[in-house]
Amino acid sequence: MLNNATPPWELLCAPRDASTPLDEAGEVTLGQLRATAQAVCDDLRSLGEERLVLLEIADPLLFAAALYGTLLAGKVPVLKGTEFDFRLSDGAHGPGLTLSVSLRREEAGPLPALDPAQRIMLHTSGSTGMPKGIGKTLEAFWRESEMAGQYLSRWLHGDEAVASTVPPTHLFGLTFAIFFPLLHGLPLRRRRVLFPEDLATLGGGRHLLVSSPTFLTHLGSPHEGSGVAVCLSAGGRLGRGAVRRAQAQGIGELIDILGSTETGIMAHREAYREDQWTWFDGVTFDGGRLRSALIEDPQGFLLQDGVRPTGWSTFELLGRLDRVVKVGEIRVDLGEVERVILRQPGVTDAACISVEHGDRTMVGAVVVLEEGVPEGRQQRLMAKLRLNAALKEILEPAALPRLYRFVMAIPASESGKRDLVSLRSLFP
Amino acid sequence: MEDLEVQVKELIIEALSLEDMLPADIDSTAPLFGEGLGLDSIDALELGVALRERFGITLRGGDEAIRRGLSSVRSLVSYIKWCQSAA
Repeated sequence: MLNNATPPWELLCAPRDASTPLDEAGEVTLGQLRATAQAVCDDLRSLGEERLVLLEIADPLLFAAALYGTLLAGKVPVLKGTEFDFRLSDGAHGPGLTLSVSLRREEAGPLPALDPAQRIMLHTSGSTGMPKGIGKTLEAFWRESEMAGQYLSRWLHGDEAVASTVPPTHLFGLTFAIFFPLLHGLPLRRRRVLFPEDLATLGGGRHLLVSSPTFLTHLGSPHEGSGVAVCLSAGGRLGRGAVRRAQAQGIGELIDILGSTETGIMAHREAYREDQWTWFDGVTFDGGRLRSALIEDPQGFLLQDGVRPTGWSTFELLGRLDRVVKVGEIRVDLGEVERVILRQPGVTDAACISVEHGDRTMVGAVVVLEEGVPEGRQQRLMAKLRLNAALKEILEPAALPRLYRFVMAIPASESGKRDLVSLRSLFP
Repeated sequence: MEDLEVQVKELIIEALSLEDMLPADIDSTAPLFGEGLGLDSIDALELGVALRERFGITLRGGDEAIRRGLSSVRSLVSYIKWCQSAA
């Protein structure tokens, strides 16, 4: 049976035995997590008053220690972004003041409690269609873990180890591969599952796998997924192919989760059996607005997806109402990509659309250059590499156009509106 | 250019839809991910599937050798050779 979730602000102050193991292999203890968090806190305090701390750490427990150390120092952890004062890293150095973090061998006793209102910043830049600076409180993470735990307790026994294909720096990874296991007392698997073949290394015992449509779409056969009792997927609705592959792999239960940075988790779907979504308990949708314990605004959140109710708590999702598309699990604002392309020297017009390529969605860019249409493969390649080299400085990899078409003018209707059919026909 | 190196480049171009690219356009020693070709984590998965289908080798992410193996075309070639000789 799944335990109730411990509030995250009490996780390291609870009078629990310091030798309690936190990971599947029994390598890291609660006491070590406390000692590492304390060391990170001391280091950050000695650096000065600046507050934004970017976390770039792959190991989930080291990530958790850095997160807690940052919060303990009264600073604000940043998951992803271009605006920060310090960086906490597990190795590679990059721009800005970087502190290298490693797990402490010694154990420490309980640390001071945190404030439930302390926030984790999920983004600090607008380059993928995200508004600037969305912060989520510890209280919201706790409510979310409770909400998910209540739903998932019908499948979870409470003895599962949690493995993840999603890094902790993604919100879904933080929510389900870090907070969910730590707060429910489930052991974590420290090594990330990067390739489908890694599933065969999970070994005995039951696992909860935190994953994504991109990963599940790439499942081959005959790999071994039978160690996965329950798999959670978020970041976009799972396609039928991915669901079939997961089933063929022996993955016990496959749960599709609908959520967003602004709203937290909203709805769920048992992917083997259900086509429609069901709102999580406590989530309501009315007049285009979503309300739940995870949304602070009493007016609710204006959902950018079309929703068609099919029952009291069930619905079909009709897709985005704006021009934000999912590339892998990353939201990409096509309008933003266009604006960035338009700012490049030598570009006079640009239009971006999403292009389906096999199982994959890519950004396709139609561009008008001052110099005209580049002639020949070499010139096209040069123009494309030049643009992407500049775009790479501003946009996330997922938002970079993979396919380019250079034209004399962007196809448009008589009224001047972009001709989507003609644009699409450029990417057969 | 070595034969296997060309094959690997062709595989990358085909599997990842790198339009207008020819094997000669890819620097054998440049990083495949991040800088250089600028491939992302979805590309890594696609490439993993393609390598499995073409060369029968499997990638296991936990293995440090893989991280090094995927760092450039040249190291990928040496990783494939190593897998084939170990098989």
